[in-house]
Amino acid sequence: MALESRFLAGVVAGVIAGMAKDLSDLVSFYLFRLSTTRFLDFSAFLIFGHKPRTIVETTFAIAAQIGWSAALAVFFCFLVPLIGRRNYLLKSTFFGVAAWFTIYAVLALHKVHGLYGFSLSSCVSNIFGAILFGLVLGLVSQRLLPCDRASI
Amino acid sequence: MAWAIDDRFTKGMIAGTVAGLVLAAENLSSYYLFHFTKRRALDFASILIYGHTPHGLWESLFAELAVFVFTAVLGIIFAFLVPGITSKNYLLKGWMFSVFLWFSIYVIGTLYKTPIISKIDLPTAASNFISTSIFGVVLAYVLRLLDKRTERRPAR
Repeated sequence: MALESRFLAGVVAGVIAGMAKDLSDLVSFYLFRLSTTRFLDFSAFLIFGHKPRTIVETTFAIAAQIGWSAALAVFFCFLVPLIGRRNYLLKSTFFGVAAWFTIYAVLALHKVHGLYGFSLSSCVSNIFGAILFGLVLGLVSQRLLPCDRASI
Repeated sequence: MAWAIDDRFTKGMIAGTVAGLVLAAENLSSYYLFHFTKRRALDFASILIYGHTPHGLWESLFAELAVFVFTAVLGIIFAFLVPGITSKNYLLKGWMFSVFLWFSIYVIGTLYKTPIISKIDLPTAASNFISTSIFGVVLAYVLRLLDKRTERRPAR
């Protein structure tokens, strides 16, 4: 089912991929205790300046986090006509991993309080989330993107 | 799902990763064998990821993986630049691209006062310059090889 709008396809794919990423992140945080900083903590630090303290703050941080995922996915969907659809899942997965490293680098350069200097287990958990985000983004957007000649 | 190396993204990613491997080999031998450089490329990645130089083998390996992601991204950017700047004197262009990035990374590291990136001695700077020069030349060479393989097919 292809959507008419590339933007809308990106938003839908991004929301679904963001939810998959957050789910894996929460499992890693609460069940396996791998990660020490949840993805929602990233957005909470950037919005409130601290980890979420109430359920309302947590919900708001998750919403912001999903919104960010949607924005990334929209960006990817507009990249598709440029990079082509060959090896599509490889491209979307690599996009997720590259976004992960870029976000780490920007936060580290600005030494953002609470979001700088992670443990190895947190990094492994986060990169797994980034790979999952890229894969789901690829799988969903592949079906939703309009199949115009420019993007084949 | 068909797996083909005939689009610029995939070719750039492969060229960047191969050049990253050569960069790592040169950089690590300069550090461990010749004791020329005091900083490995993975130390720079470690600072950005952990906030300190790596403690132990696993942190080092993960940081090296991040370096490969970075070199693959650079490979993709260069692959998309080539149709615009043409492949004439491609080795020179690859070298120039890489050296420009090397200097840009130093500038950004210094501007943001990032530990270890902002304070580098001459042997380390010279070693990094050699590493990035090799990276740029290998990147352009591998990309040209991959381009030649698919030259008769339409670009995607």
